[in-house]
Amino acid sequence: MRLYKKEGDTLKILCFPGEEVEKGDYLAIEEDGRCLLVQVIDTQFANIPGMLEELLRDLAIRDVAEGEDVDALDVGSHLAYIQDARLLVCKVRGALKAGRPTVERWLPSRVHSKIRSLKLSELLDILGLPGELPIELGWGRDGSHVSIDAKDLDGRLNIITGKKGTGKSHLSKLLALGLVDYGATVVILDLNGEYVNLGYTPEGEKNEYYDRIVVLRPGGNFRVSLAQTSLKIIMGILVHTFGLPGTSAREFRRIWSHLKAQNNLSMKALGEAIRVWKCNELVRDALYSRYYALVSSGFFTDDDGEAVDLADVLKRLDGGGLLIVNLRDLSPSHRRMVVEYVLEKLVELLSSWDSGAIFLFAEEAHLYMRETYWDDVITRMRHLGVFTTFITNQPDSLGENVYRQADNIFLFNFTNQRDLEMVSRASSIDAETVKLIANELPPHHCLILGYVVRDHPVVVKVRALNVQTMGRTRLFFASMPIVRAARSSASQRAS
Amino acid sequence: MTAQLNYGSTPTYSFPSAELVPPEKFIELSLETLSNLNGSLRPILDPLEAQVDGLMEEPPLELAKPELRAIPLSPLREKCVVVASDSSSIKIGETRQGVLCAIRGAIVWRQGDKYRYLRVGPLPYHLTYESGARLLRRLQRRYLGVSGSLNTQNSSTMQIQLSAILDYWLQLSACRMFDYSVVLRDGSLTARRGDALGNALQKLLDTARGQGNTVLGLSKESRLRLNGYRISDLTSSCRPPYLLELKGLKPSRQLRLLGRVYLARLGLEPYTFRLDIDAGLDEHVGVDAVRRLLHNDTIVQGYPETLRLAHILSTFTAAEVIALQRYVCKRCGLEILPRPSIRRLLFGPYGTGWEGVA
Ligand SMILES: Nc1ncnc2c1ncn2[C@@H]1O[C@H](COP(=O)(O)OP(=O)(O)O)[C@@H](O)[C@H]1O
Ligand SMILES: [Mg+2]
Repeated sequence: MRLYKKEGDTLKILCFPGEEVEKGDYLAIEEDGRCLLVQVIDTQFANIPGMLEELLRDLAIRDVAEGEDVDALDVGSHLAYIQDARLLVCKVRGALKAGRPTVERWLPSRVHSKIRSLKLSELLDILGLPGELPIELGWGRDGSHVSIDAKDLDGRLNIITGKKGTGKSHLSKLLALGLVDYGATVVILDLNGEYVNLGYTPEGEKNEYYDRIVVLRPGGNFRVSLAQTSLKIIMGILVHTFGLPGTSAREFRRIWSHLKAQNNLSMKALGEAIRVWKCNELVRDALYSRYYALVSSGFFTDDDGEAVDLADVLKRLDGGGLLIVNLRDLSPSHRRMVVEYVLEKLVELLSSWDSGAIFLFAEEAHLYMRETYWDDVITRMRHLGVFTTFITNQPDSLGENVYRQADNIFLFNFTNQRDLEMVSRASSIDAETVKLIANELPPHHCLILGYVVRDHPVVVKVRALNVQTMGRTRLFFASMPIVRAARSSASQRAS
Repeated sequence: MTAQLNYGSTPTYSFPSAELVPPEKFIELSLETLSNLNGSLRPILDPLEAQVDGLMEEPPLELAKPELRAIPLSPLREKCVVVASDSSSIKIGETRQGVLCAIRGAIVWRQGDKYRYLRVGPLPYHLTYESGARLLRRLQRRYLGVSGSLNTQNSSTMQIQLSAILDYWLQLSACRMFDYSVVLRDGSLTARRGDALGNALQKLLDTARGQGNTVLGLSKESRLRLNGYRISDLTSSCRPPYLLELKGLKPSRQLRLLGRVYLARLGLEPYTFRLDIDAGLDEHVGVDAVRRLLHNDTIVQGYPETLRLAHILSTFTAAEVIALQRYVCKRCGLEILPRPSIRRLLFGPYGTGWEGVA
């Protein structure tokens, strides 16, 4: 390989057949004890003069004539070699001086610099990764093992994004279990109920995580009592999820204080109080309709034995565990209600704890998180110790603010330019890198950007997991026999 | 590293004719000249520097008193083979002892509506002042088989002679491959007195005639001059295609005209070329050959497609020059010396990268 030229912050390197280099790979440009670390973000054909002429001639001849070449010295193979020369478009990612990272940058000599492929494992070594708490992610293209440091997710905001089916949820499972391995508490907002079987092996046996996983199904094994619920939480639900107007909200506040003073906070008492409360009939109607919404959700119970206290659950998971809130089969408003409850409850719990933090994984959060939470997640909740990972196949569903504040991005394949545009706005990554690499990522391969890789974008093939990564899948054709039966009976009737 | 003279098993080619054997001597001598090559190479990538063709063009023929006669042409509907050949040479670098050049040539023939070709090369040669002349004499003995001198004045003329000998071999092969065909060659049918290639041309024409073939020489640039004017500017009121016969040509003392000289406008487009037809044939036989050419080949911009393909097939591209440099350097373990102008040429005015070839 030879350095060819520099355009802005881009270096172009000439590379001949046999020097197998691909997008995402790193090269070391070494010279006098100094070394530039550059990453290949694109490969092009070298613009060798006459090449176009060559190809045109070849085409023109091949179309009209066929014949024999007496190329006794096989110069043709050398021509093919030249024709296949490629130009590697590279970005400078870092530099070393006497083996140590330096912020200095320089223009390497074309004549004296030596360029070689850098194994991904070498790069990670240089970056001092993965550090103390490795989470094994998979492999680089050259077979190097790639691990990240669990510590680098601590206190951070992460985004996992990419097209559907590329492996986002799979990676988030891997990260979540990796965190649990180091004793972290992880809460997952499981939109599609696909995390619920993480406690089993693919063969259906209980695995080592089985005892450290709690799956909560709202309205099923996850019901709460009003007594455990603060006014703030219930107001949040009524106003934000069920759209209770201001006047009625004020009236509700009074009813709540009244019941609380009597130590009589229950659904039954609440319904009764609304019925007899002295107030405008419109207000009563408004309160009633919200009350019935709460009742019909089945999320609230007056049975203390049945009610789940999240504080207890988290205590049980102390020392590492996974709390999965299965949002599958919930209506959109019930989903929002449950999430509102869970998030506010977590914040409450964390504010009263001295230490402790929670890693939150949220799949397609825009489907259940209200607007105002976005900034909350980034600031207040983060401050209190809720460290969120957003998982989405719609990058524009996350606010601009989320991207600006994101520390780490795990980017799977996207072909849509707009999606890539959105992602590339995040932190320190140049748009070119994101676009050129991400649109050619195969499934299960992800481009890691940000702090976890010290701003050295790395492509990794994510490893498989020895757990059941699929939840129960509701299949359309599972209902076929019934349909068939109905049709056959119909046809019987017709005959 | 020393090149091995013995180049192993020569691949077998499905040659179009049994009489046609690969020009082994050319290959053998190519390797022989490379075997004495060592040290370093200054590659040439400037196309102008690399091209030496045209350096030895024949001197202009001055027409004293012109006698022009227009001969209208119509295609003669008789099936025959049109066969053309061309060769080219290129300088690919300089060594301490001499120059490195390469030659290549091709025969193209049209049979029915198909073009077929046989291409020989590229073959690189290391020409030094002493070895060059010896090399040419050996090729002369082997392929020309006639006496006469060769221009070994300098490396450029030697290079041109080298490709001219290959060209001769290709034309002779073409003449032997077919009967009653139209044989096209690039260049006139003019011979220098005492010149080996001139003598060979005479022999070629005789051979062609012996098999009923007609040799036509087409010159891309007419070097005929009429009172200082380029004669290719002459036109006729005659409807194309036509020939303009030039009578009363007085070649200089050193030149022999082996053909009748015409100005040919073979297509409707306003392009004319000098056309020499074997003078050993009756005039009407020669004209009929041109008419058969019109029937059996495609004429594009006044030029036969077969000859154009032969030209294209033998010309070197810049990439091929680089490939040849790489080949020679790899084979002989040469060090490539940087040349500032190369980089500029390779990468435009701002690129200053890459010395030589990997
Ligand atoms: N690294 C991987 N190794 C093996 N299987 C994987 C991997 N990543 C994803 N899969 C499988 O591919 C399918 C789609 O992955 P998933 O994570 O659900 O995609 P996404 O969440 O991006 O839509 C799932 O069946 C998953 O188990
Ligand atoms: Mg998913």
